[in-house]
Amino acid sequence: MTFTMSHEWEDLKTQTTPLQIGPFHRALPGPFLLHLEMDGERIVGSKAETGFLFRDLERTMESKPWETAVVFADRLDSETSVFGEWVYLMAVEQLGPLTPPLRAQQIRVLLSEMTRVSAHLAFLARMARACDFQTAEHFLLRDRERWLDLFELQTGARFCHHFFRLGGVAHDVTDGFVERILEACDLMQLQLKEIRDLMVFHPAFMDRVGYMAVLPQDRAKTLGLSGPTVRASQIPLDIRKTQPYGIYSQLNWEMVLGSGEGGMPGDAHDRVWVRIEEIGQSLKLMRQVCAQLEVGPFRQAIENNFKIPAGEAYARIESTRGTLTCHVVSNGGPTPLRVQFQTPSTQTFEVLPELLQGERLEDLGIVLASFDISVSEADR
Amino acid sequence: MLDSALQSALQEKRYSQFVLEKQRLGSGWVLWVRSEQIKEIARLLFDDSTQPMDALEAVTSFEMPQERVVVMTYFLRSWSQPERDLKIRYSLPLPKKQKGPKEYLEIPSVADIWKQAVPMEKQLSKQFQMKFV
Repeated sequence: MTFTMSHEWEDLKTQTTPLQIGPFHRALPGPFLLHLEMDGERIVGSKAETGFLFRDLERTMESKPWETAVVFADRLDSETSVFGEWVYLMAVEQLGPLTPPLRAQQIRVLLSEMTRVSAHLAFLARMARACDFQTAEHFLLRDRERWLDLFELQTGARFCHHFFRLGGVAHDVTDGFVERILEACDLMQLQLKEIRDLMVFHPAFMDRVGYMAVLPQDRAKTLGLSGPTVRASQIPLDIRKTQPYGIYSQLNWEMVLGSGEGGMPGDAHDRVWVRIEEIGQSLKLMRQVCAQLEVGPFRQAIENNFKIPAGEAYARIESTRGTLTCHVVSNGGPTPLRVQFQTPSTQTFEVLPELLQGERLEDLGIVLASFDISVSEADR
Repeated sequence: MLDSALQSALQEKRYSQFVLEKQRLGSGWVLWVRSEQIKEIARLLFDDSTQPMDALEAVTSFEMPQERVVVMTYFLRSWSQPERDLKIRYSLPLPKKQKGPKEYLEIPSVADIWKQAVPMEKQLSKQFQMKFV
């Protein structure tokens, strides 16, 4: 059989190849199964299969007393556990109603921003690893250790802190904690320059991630994403600014938006850049809170026979990955009638096939890392 | 005090025809609508030329066992004005308990209006006996 060169060649299609990755793989951010349809090196179709970390947290919370349920909110994502605790408690405190004292709110902001820095450093380390930037990865993990040490000093745990309580926090700041935070902020400020040189402005890094997995503004809105991912696409959405909670309205800081410095707005490079700049803003917030730390109680006094009245409440906060919401319903009983979270990673998982469409297999690890998915909070 | 989004929604005649009543939800308000009109009002809110509610933040559901109803709530937001939000809800009677195969509660899907609804509806259909149509 002979072939002749003609326009008919264009109609010939190559058969696509199925490829299965996971549930445990270095390129994946956690345990899930990724079914890919490959046309040569290019991804033409994909499907993400989740559920490997399913713990039925919401239903478990509904069977536990109001205060005990916080432990399970903590497990929403162990890396950023304070956000799960805070959003649940914020909703319950609306129901109470309970008003945490100013000092408690300041400590909550302090721990949240520490978590943001720590989680962003972990994200940057994952990106560095995906790009084979081993020096940067080690430096970032070293820097993150300092923040985890501070968590241990304050809460007794490096992850899953279980530190927030109804009407406040578990205990006051430990001796020397504020001084150590300020010290860590000063050091981190210097290290940010190092991280920028090692990653953001490094020519090899810019070549690798610039123009990769571009998420235009319109598409980000249609897909319903949130957090640093949409801010990299120049959408000004940050709950701390748009619907401030806690004491964020009293603090001075700026929302960081993508600039397209290493390629174009909304690409993987911008998602890295936004997070690095957000670390700088978090340091600014922590310094302000440390300077204003109020003397007073760290928890509102609650009577032993205190009951959460019947009703419902809805709370939303800005976690490291985006908008985290919690809807709580009470029938006046000892346990919640309904607790329901909406997490940013759930949405990212749903739209993963669209985000991976057309990407090359060699870039899969970088693309997945750049969208910062937490399998734990998606499966919950 | 009503929030501005609710106030404007109530004042405009085209929305007021859908609203059955308003109820406090935490620090804000929620509008009750008829279940059969949810898609219609959702489309109107999404396509609103001046203040579109083009982002769906969450869809939640809970059962009220005594009343034997399930309450669906939609938490909406605007991309152009993220500080604006709106909550709409409706209730549906729970299927009667009977022997034989379980009866699914049919809920109107809004996934064709807000793409964000897909994982939320999936999650609800797993937790409750619901089928989004």
